[in-house]
Formats: sequence, C-alpha cells, structure tokens
Amino acid sequence: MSRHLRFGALATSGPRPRRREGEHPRRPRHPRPAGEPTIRRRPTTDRAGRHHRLPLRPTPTRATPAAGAPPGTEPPHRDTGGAAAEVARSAVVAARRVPGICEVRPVTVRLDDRTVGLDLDLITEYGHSVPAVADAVRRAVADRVYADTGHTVVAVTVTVRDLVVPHSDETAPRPPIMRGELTTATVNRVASLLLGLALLAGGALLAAQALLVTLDVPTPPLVHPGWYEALTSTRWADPGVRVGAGAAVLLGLVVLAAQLRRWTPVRLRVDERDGWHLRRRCVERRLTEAVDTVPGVRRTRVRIRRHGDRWRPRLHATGDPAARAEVEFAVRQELRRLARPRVEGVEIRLLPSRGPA
Amino acid sequence: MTDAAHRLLWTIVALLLVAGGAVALAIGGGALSGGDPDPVLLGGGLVDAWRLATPWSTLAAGVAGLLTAVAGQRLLHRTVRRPDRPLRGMLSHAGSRPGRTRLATEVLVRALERDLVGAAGVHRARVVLTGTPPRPDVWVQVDLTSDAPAARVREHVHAAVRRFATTAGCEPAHLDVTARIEPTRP
Repeated sequence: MSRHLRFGALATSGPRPRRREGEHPRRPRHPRPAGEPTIRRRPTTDRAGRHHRLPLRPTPTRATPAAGAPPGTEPPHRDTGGAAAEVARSAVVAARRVPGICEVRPVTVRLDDRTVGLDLDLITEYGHSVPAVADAVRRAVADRVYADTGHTVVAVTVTVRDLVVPHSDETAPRPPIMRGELTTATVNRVASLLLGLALLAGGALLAAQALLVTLDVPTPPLVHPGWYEALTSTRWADPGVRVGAGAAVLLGLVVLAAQLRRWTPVRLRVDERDGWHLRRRCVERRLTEAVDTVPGVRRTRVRIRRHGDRWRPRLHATGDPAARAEVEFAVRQELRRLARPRVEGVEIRLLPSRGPA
Repeated sequence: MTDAAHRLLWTIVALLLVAGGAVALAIGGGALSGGDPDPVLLGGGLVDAWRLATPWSTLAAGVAGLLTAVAGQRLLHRTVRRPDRPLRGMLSHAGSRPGRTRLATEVLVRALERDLVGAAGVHRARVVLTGTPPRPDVWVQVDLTSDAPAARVREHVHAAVRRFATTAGCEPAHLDVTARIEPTRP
C-alpha cells in the first residue's frame, strides 16, 4: 500500500557542502556502462548486513506492437536487449550528474518503437530533497536518452533504496535501552486486560447458558449447580455478605484514590516549544550524584515532581545543615548543565547525622 | 486506549464498586430492606417476576451476556492495540514529470537514526513516525552518554529533524524527544 508524501522545495542547505564528482566513496570514479554483463559490481549491504538485491543489468521487456497495426502481426525483429542496454547506459550517465545522487541502477527498461519507460533505483545523499532530486533525474534522463538514442522517455519511476548520511557509519544504530517502569498507567493497562477477559468469558458463559435454557436443552455443568439455592438462602445480613460488601467499598476507595491522585511523571518536559523531555529517574540519579559530591553530605534521595511546566526537586540527605547553600548550588548547577529547566524551588532537608561526620 | 481513557474507566469501576458495596451494606443493615426484616439475596418477588416473564427473561439474559462478551472483546482489542500506529510501507509521490518517486519509510527512519547518533554524546537512537505522511508526528528516543553536552545535543537533534524534513519534503506536525542519560561511570 502506498501513501502519498507531500514533497517540499529543494534543500537550500544540506548538512555539508556536496562532494565533487568522483570523491564519494560509494560512487565509482569512472562511470561504468550499466547492463554490461562482464562488469560485476561489488554488492552494497543494507543496515542489517544483507546485500541490496538490485539486478546487475536492466530487464528489457518485449516491444509491443505499434498502435494501429493489424492484430496478430509481430513487430519487426530488432535487437531489444542491445537497445535497452544503450538506453540504460544513457540514463545512468545522466542521472549520476544530478547533485545529491550517490548511486544509480537501472532496474527495468520498457522499450517500444519510439518510446521508453524506465525504473531506476537510486541511493541519494541525506539532506537533499528526494522529490527535487527525483524530478531532476527525470528531466536529465529524458533529455539524455532522447539525445543518445532518439527514444522519448514517457515515464521514469524512481525508487530510493537508501540514503547516505554524511559523517556517519552505515551500520544501524542500536535502539535505546527500554527499562519498564511500574507506574499507575501500566497497572491500569494490565487491569483493563484482565477486566476485558473476565467480561468476555462471563458474558459468553451467560449467553450460552441462557440460549440452552431457552431451547430446553440440558445445560452442561459449567456453573456450580448449587448457585440457585445459595442465592435464595443467603441473607444480606450474613457476615460473609457484609464482609464482601465492605471489601468492595474499600477496594473501590483504593482504586479511586489511585486514579485521582497526581501521577508520578515518567519523563519531565524541558521545553514545550521543542518537545524535549528527560527521563525523570535519570535526572534524579544525576542530582543524587551531584549532591553526594558535597563534603559531609551522604545518603541523598532526590524526588522531582512537576508543577505545570516547572520542576520541583525535593531532596533528603544526611549531613551538616550548614551545607544547605552548597547543596542547593550543586543541584542548580547540575540542572543547568542538564537542561536549563524552569525550576520552581529546591526543597532541601538535611538531617544531621548522629555519629561524627 | 490512552492512559486518560484507562484512568476514566477505572474511576467509573471504582465508583461502581463503592456504590454497590454501600448499597449491600445498607440492605444488610436493614436500611433498604423494603419491609422484609431479613431479606435474602435473591428474593421471592424477583424469582416470581423472572418466571412470569419466561421465555423473554431468559432471552434478555442471553442478550445481556452477548453484550457483555462484546464489551469485553472491544476492551481487550483496544487495550492491546497501540493508540498510534507507526507509519510503515512505501511512500509514493507523482512527480512533476511522468513517473513516480518511491521511498520506504524504513529507509527514511534509519537515515534519521544514523544522523542522530552522529552527534557527540548520542549513544543510541530510535525514531518512530506516526500520523499521516504529509505532516507526520516524529517520536525520537535517544540515549546520551553521561558526559554529553546537553545543549549541543539538543541543537544537533533539531538540526537532524530539519534535515529529515528537507529530505522527505514534509513538515513534522509534532516532534517529541525523550532523552535518557546514562549513569556516570565510577
């Protein structure tokens, strides 16, 4: 399934000035004639280490009868493979001259009497607008093929197989380490999953039982047979029922409190304008390490809460209460170094140690 | 389902639990007994009404069970499914001249990831695109080394996203970056 991409204008500035022709490591110094069977390209590999499965030569397709020709007549004999290779060669030479192109490979050449359709695979440089580069390739290929072979190019389908990122190795970067954090949101999801399962099973059981009873079919013993007697004999005032009701009230109040209290943020927003966030636990750990460098302060615990866009660090440590100013300075300096967030105030509790420091 | 939707669901469930438990306690205490000093859970009136309405009562129970099962299935489906599906597949565009331009989203995403880890201090990176292709939402996760210059990394990430937008010819509707800083080595 293909989706439509809105393309923008040609990139005015790439990540760095484009190399001159022949300087790029992926681009051969001398243009090779595409489709030449004796030339074997060194296969490039993708990020997973697999070779790009690009054919070494274009696939010529059979020439179709000219419009208006009587049905059943064959086109005149011609060297379709040679003509396709010539068209492919011209297309590759033209496409390689377009700025931002690192590699070109012709995949298919659909040749008719006077017209030709081409499928090209490209590797382009990251930072150059792909739609603009593709349009430039179409224009250059059409002009060059017409000039060299006299064929009119009716369509060029461009597939960008890879993007070369300057100043980066071509291996795939490792994904960030995901450490699961037990939050109320996670508990809610698991509980919803269990509730959904219970509703599905209970509802299906009830529907099946009701249907069998309606059809007067003997019901299988899916439900405990004594349920009717239990419900008609148990009284609301029985201790078991009252304990169950009390437990339900208690559980409801606990769940309500868990949902209505302010949740601990997993990440802290640094700046609303650029969408930048820091993981809360990382910041807390960094602040703990910073405070522990203050002489005489130890066993530091830092908690950060959010108040709107502002951070509220709370700090508990053991040490000389006179070191408060130093601790606050260490915290603010580390926060500035990390992200320069908007801090509402640093709450510091320094408990004097019982033994000698 | 979003976190807010789960929160609303469990707030409603909690209120139902509190209300049901309170009513049961009230009936057991004799406050809502309706004239019967020691009522049973399934009273005679309820059983008589059920028998009088047969077979419609049984059918109603069947329909209620079916609706409950469907509600459970919908809840399961929405809980398992992620709210924002990542963009996958081949992006296609008709050029100004005849022919199409095709670009796999995976190629675009991997290129941005490689660009991100090119900065000093960025150790790992992961990019997810969601939304619609003309204005996708870009979700970035980066792992920073303990000595990473935070301000410079932020500038690099935003420059990389600008290069991404230029390459794809799209304008991200929303950018969300989450950074994790690795602990200091002793």
